[in-house]
Parts: sequence; C-alpha cells; structure tokens
Amino acid sequence: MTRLSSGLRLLPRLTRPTCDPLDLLAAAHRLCAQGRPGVHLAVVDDDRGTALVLGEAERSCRSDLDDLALAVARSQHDMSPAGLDAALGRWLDTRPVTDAEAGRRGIAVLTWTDPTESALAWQVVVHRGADVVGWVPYPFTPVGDVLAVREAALQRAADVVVRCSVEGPVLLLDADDPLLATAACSAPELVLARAARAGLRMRDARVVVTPGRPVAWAEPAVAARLAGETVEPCVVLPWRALPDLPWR
Amino acid sequence: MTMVSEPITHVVLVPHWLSADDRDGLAVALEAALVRPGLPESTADRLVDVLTELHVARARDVVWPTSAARVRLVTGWDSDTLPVRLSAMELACTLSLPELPATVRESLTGGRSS
Repeated sequence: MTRLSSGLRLLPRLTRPTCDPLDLLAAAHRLCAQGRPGVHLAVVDDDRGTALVLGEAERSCRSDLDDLALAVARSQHDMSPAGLDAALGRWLDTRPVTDAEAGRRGIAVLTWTDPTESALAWQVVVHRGADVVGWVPYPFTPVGDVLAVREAALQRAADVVVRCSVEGPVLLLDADDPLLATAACSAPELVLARAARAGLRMRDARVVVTPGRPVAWAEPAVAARLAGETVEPCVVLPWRALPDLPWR
Repeated sequence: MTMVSEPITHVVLVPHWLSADDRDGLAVALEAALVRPGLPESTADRLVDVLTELHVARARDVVWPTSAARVRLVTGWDSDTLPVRLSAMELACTLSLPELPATVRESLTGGRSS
C-alpha cells in the first residue's frame, strides 16, 4: 500500500464508524453475565429506553445504550465483539467511586474546579486501569469520614512515584500517569528538598500547574516567563498556598 | 506567528524558532560573552535572561508540547525546533555579540524568524 501524503492522511477521519445498538446490547449482556465483584449490573428496558444500570454500595448510575453507542463510535474504530467488550470495560472503569474505594486507595491530586479551567482544587481520585476517576463525597456521608478519606489520600499522594528533572532554573515533576503529576504538591516541603538536592535552591518558589500535565516549580520571575507565554490554561501560585486550596 | 505581551513589564516577547544546534550555539556564545571583561552590566542582565529563556523554552515544551508540535507538523520543521521567546532588547543584546555563530545569527534574523 502506498503511503498517503500528509493531506491525504486526513481522509480516513471522514469515514466515521457506526456502532450497531444490537451489537452493543449483546456486549452489555455479556458484561452483565461476566460481572464484577461488588458491582451490580443490569440491562433495563423501560419507557426511557434501553440502558445499562450499575449499582455499587451507595452509588448508582444509568447509561442509555444509544448514548453509549455514540460515545463508542466516537472513541474507537474496532466494532468487533472484542472491541465492544473492551469499550464497555472502560465504561465500567469510569463508574462513580464509592466512599469505601476512595478511603481504601484514593490519591489527592489537583484538578480544575469547573469547565472554564480557571481555578484549582484538591480532589481524591482513584486509578482504575488507564483511567483516573474523581471521587465526589456522597451527600449523606458524615463530614468526619470525608475528612478522613481526604487525609488518607494526601498521605498516599506523597508516596506516588514522581520523576524530578531540572531544566536550568525550572524543576519539572512528572508521573507515569500525567494526571498524578500534581500528587507531589501534597508535600511541597519534600519537593523543595528534592530541588535542593538537585542543586536548585528556591527561596520563594512558584508552582505552575495545569492538571494532567507535568508541574513546574521556579522562582517568581522565571515562572512568570514560563506561564506568561503560554496559551494553555494554567495557574501560577506560591508553594505555600498549595495546602490552602479548596477541596472538590 | 503570535506576539504575546509579558503581563508584568508589558514587554513583547517574539518567538524565534531555533533548532537544538542553534540553541546550543547560542548558549555557548552567551556563556563566552558573560565572562568577557568589560561587558556592560545591563547587557549582561539581558544575556542572562536569554540564557534563562533557553531553559524555559525547553521546560515550556515539556509542560505544554501541543502548540509547538502543531506548528512543527504544519511547517515540517524538525522535532528539536522550539520557540525561544525574546524581547527586542534581549534580541539586540544577543545580536551585538561578536561570538554569535553566523548560523544562529541567521536563524534569529531570517529563516524561520522572518
């Protein structure tokens, strides 16, 4: 097969695959039969349409199969039974996080507070497969339990393996999963100590944060130069302000 | 090319797309100039800022790689080509260096920067 030029390589994008709802329904039945420990799965067919309904501890969610078919068609080309099984497996991985799971293996990271991506907040997330899913406290969970989950998540965040690299006056922190790169911000003193060991002494460090991207630490003038010239959404804040950020 | 205003000083920083060889040559020339006796202090300050920008450009590409990658994809430039953003004063001080290699001078004044 001859190689397409760069312009012609765009052409395959125009042929959008479609997901047959009956194939997806069959995959949903296979998923329900296979099951997951502690997760109740069912295919329901009512006046709102056919949907995949999931229940786990205090959480439940319902996904319309037609909406799922659209999402699958947008996200992948493989519409074989195995491809649809994998797609529903990923859907299952993004199910709401229960309070128990958040308390058991939640990690505190920085996320955007809203879709405008203008302010940061701490959030407890759980790493599931290739996804990182955020935990939102259940409305009826006691405040003491919520605080305990957050405290445990902060301690786990300090243990996340984060790679440190030095680029001149800038310290860069990255993790295997970029969404966990901000976990190290839960223990800023440790980051400053690692920077000092790498030969970077920052008296008044500023942290440049874009959730899901490596985190940069630098002196104020350098941080302003770094972040002032980007069109990407980011927040620059003093390292001492990190513990005072709100929680989602 | 986009021109962005620096928020604090309102100095306009213009991107100059330099290859890795250009950036290495520029760094060597800057370091040589900074140890030269008799270099005016204000010029030295600007040259240190240019050295800082060489590091910041690489850090910027690590943190937010997509916009530069998009430009490289469209233009066909090599993957080691990065936007180095300099103010007019920083560029003038850099171009005033006799140590500056001709290829770097060409990259800063013509080619991808024109």
